Amino acid sequence: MKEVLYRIFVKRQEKYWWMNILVPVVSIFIALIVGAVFIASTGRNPFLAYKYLFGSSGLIPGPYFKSHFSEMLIASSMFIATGLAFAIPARAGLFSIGAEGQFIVGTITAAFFGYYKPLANLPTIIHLPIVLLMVIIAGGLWGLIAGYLKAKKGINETIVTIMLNWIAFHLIEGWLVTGPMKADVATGVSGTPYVSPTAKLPIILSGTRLNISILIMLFLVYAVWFLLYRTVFGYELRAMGYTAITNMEAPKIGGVNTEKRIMQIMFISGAIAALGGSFITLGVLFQYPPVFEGGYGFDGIAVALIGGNEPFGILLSGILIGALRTGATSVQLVKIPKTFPAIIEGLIVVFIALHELIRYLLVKAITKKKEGVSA
Amino acid sequence: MKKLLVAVLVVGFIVSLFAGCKPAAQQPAKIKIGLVTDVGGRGDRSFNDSALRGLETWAAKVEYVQGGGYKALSDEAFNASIPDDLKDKGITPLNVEPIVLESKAKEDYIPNIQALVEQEHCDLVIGVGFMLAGAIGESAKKYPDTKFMLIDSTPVDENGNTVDLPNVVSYLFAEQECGFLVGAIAGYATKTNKVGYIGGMAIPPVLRYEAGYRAGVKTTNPNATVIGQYTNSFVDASLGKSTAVSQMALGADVLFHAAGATGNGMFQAICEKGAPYWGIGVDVDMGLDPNLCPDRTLTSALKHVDYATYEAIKSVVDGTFKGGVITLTLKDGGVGYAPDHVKDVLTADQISKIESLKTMIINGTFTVPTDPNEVETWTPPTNF
Amino acid sequence: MEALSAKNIVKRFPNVLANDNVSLSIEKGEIFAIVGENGAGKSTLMKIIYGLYLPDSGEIYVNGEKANIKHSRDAINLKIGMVHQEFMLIPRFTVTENIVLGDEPRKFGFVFDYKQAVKEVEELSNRFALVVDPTEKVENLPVGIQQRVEILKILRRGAEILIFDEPTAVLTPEETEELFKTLRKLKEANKTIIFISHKLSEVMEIADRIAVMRRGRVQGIVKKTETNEKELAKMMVGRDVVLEIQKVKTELGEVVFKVEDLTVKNQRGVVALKDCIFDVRAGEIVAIAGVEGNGQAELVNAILGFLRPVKGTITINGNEMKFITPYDIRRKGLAYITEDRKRRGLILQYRARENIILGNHTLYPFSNKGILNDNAIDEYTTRKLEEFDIRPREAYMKAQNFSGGNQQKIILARELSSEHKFLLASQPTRGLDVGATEFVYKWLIEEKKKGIGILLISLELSEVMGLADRILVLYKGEIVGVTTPEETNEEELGLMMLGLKRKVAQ
Repeated sequence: MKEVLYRIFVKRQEKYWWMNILVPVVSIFIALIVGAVFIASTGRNPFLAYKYLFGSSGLIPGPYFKSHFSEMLIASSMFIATGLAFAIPARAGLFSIGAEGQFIVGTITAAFFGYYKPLANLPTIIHLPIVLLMVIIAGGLWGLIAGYLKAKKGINETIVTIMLNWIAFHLIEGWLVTGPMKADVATGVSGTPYVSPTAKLPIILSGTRLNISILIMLFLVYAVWFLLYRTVFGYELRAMGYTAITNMEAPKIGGVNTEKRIMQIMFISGAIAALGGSFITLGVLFQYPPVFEGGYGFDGIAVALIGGNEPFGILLSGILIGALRTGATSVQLVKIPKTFPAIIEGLIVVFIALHELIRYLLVKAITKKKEGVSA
Repeated sequence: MKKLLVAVLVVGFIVSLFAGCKPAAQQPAKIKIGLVTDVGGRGDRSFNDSALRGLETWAAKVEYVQGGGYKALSDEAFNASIPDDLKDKGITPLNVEPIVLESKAKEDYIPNIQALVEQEHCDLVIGVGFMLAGAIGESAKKYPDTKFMLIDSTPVDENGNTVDLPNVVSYLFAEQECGFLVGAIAGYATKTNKVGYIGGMAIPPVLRYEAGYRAGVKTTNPNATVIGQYTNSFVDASLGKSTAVSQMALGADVLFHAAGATGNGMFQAICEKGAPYWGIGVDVDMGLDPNLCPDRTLTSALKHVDYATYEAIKSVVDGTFKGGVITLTLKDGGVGYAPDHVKDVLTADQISKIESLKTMIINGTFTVPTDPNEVETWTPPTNF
Repeated sequence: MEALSAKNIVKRFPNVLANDNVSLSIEKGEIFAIVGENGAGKSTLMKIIYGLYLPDSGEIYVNGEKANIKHSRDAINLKIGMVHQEFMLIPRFTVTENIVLGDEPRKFGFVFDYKQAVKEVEELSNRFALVVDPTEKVENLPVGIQQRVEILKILRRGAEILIFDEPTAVLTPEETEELFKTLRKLKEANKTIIFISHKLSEVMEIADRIAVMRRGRVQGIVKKTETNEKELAKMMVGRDVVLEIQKVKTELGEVVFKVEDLTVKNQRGVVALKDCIFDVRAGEIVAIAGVEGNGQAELVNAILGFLRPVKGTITINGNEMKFITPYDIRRKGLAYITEDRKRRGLILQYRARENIILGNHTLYPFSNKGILNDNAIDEYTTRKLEEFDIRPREAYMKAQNFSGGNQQKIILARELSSEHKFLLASQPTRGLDVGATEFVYKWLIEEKKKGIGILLISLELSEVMGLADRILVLYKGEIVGVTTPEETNEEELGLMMLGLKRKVAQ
């Protein structure tokens, strides 16, 4: 067990390696306490708020657990996707915030290949993989644009990804959805046509919307972990990340083709974000709606931050954010604004960002205790 | 001491999590009406707020308290909230309990409906706007014992096909008719013989507005041209503003929008330019909204989503609910136009002509086209 | 009179006893040197005196009185100042602003009086003959002058005891000379100076008395006049050290490295290397001597592919390097030992095992079809830690936690184990202590015996004279001298390095 935890959190041979688990947990806890103070200050009952928030978040068994649980996992799988999409480049020292654009590129690609007539009569077992493959290619290529510009021209990947987000947004919502890909007005559908039933993600829990997207993400979390820690690719990727501030000189001298790697990393990142976007089309809305308030890409940054850019950390933080979103529906029933869970999410990010401080305080408290014992 | 306090808090917190997970207490005395807003949410000054007025103000006679919760509404406020053209419709409180869930994203529609049905056991669930067509369609199939109301669209199943379900009533509006009347007013009001039209997205209700507006302009002022544009957004006020500014630069002096919050930017532009520009509001009486541009609001094309909502609730309370499609028209008071500044701009003669056009539509003397492409070939009534 | 003394100082870090009952007594007005290998406990002791660490036990006396130093503030109040290895200066501030920071002269009690401050700094720099331009920004100053600013800063605070923690590590030979002049002036002004170093030649030049530390203990305190480098080295390392490099017979092979008409511009677009022609043959060591900043960095960067030559060719093992990127070089049979271990040599956050395979990580058995083989890496690392005597023998310790000497050993272990015929050694002993330096020399000679061609870039004349078969002197980007150790001496090399003499076969 210890070995497994070591391998997951990698910082073995490091003093207080378990801090990597304790610090986020403590940060989340502090955020919840501060959130309770917020709620109490508006004259509402914080316990009631949390009761409804977590009671219907899908994390704690209770009434309607099945539907909450499935909704939570549907949301989580998308947050995990964008979290991973941010974390992979981040581990290589690339600050890509293009997951938002890559996400909707995935959503629209899935919509197109989902309703595209020549494919519509294929069985699911063939149609769905084709759709997902196209999503991976489209999202990957969209991510590759920033990777190419960074690798070959040295253009800042952050700026490029921000601009690509807007380009994707206007291209899709301003043109594709209202133009070439618009559904026939006569059908009464706005946005793109609905995808063929054969392109939908199979349901794994009957009576709910829960589909295989969470299984895909579980596999991907493991795959990304394997990629990062067990392969030459991950070895070089992390080496680049550690030396990004010194222009990656050491890995370059060590024979790492950083240009090629940057492009590969951005491709993978874009592909994973797009896969998350396709879940919207193939598992939730079944079309690209006329207006799509995404935001998953930006939430992915928070997810990656809370998860410490570690694949398994992102799995947990993605589930946490998904649970907060799911619980957000029910807090309104007790007259608490739907924005409350978003405030909690923001607080968690703030306290995670202060993790160095919290780590310091924890280490100090623990060492003090130990000294006290020995004295 | 501090540790003890923290421990107590923690224990209390965890206990409370589990303690309260019972289903909400049921009050059979009151009929529960659930409502799911679209992503515009409460405070959009338009569509959602209008539906909320039908439910909260009229049917339940309560006032929303900022941040959550309700308080009782006075009789004066209740009466003041009913617009003139609906005074004769006999709107009285129905003693229902409203439960409103706002949607942060499209993916929330189904979970929200689910919560209203499963947790709150609502008798009627209202979906505001065409964006909920899919969610209402899917949910109505899943919960055949719950009644649903869908505004502005017919329900759509998970494959995108329009479905006819016995437990869903869809309320549509004859937007072309109120669009026609404001178009006729614009035709009289314009000095430059150019009027503007800003559409949100080319979806059926907005297209009906456009068709009616163009037809109305053509009727009262055949020499006038309509500068029409679609912004492809219902939420981008700055885009609405720049579109309005460019139309004014092209010479349009009366502007009409059917673009939700995007249209707020149009009023902003008109307020900044001042005379001689006029704006025409949509869905609700925007001339009453101090946050827009009441001084330069010529009229508003009214679409009584509030009345539709109220009617649907009433049918559930009365036990007369029936699935199907109901289209509200000028005839039954579902659409209309607001007086605002009409009498300051138009002559008495012109106003009476507008009223006679209204009567002609109600009597079916002529029909207003519903497709903007048909306006070209459509023959307007003469002598206007 | 006694200025400072430490009695029975003990400081324990996890796994390491850094100071083991250390006692010292330093007289007022003397230059007292403390030498020892990296990790011998010199810096720890100084940090205790300066209040950065608290000792586990032991006492410190200043001017005969027991001092209670819990914080560097306390040390400053006791007129103790410290010049750190890494300067505590704000690059964007001027010299004056840096010097007065934290204790600014004021007008009306709250307005910063810059003119007054400049005046004070000028006065101070005249008094100690430490020439600086008070209004120049620190970022524009060479390292030697920046150090001077640091010294002025602590002098302004009234320091009587000045601690220098390896001050020469970052300096060029000329700057070192300047520093020594300064130290002598400070001594004349009756200041007490504690000088930390591991370079024995420097200590022998400047110190009055020398304390030698090894593994946290003081091995002995000797007067300079009563000792010599060899004895000090023995005390430091604990055994006899071969400082004289034994010459090995050279067996020349084919040409493994060649540059022709090489002209390189640096990042600012200035020609930094002009028309260089030379070659390195298998089995010989060619040394490039010169003062730092005369084109060595550009030569290295051009060879590694970081800079593209304006003109000329570079040939490694018969392959001409054209439009080559750094990662391609690795496949051409080149090994590279760098002075910039932290930036170029190692990935500091990586463990020893991960650093030791860098460059060969794509090869069997470390990886197979792109998947790393942990067991093979562990086994290999364990073997290399033993072979290159890297301490501690912790394959899983991060590179940043190894001492400088052991970091360099990790680099040696990696580079010399990879397949290569040509070795580029750029100041391989910079910042290393005697033991580690000896180790590097030993391995360079081993390489030579194996028939590897070595290009050695060095600032240390003794190193050049001792190791090289041929010497090239670089001055302002040009080769101004081509000679051999037998045909020249350090004095002549020095003249060539300063551009005062040319010796090129026409």
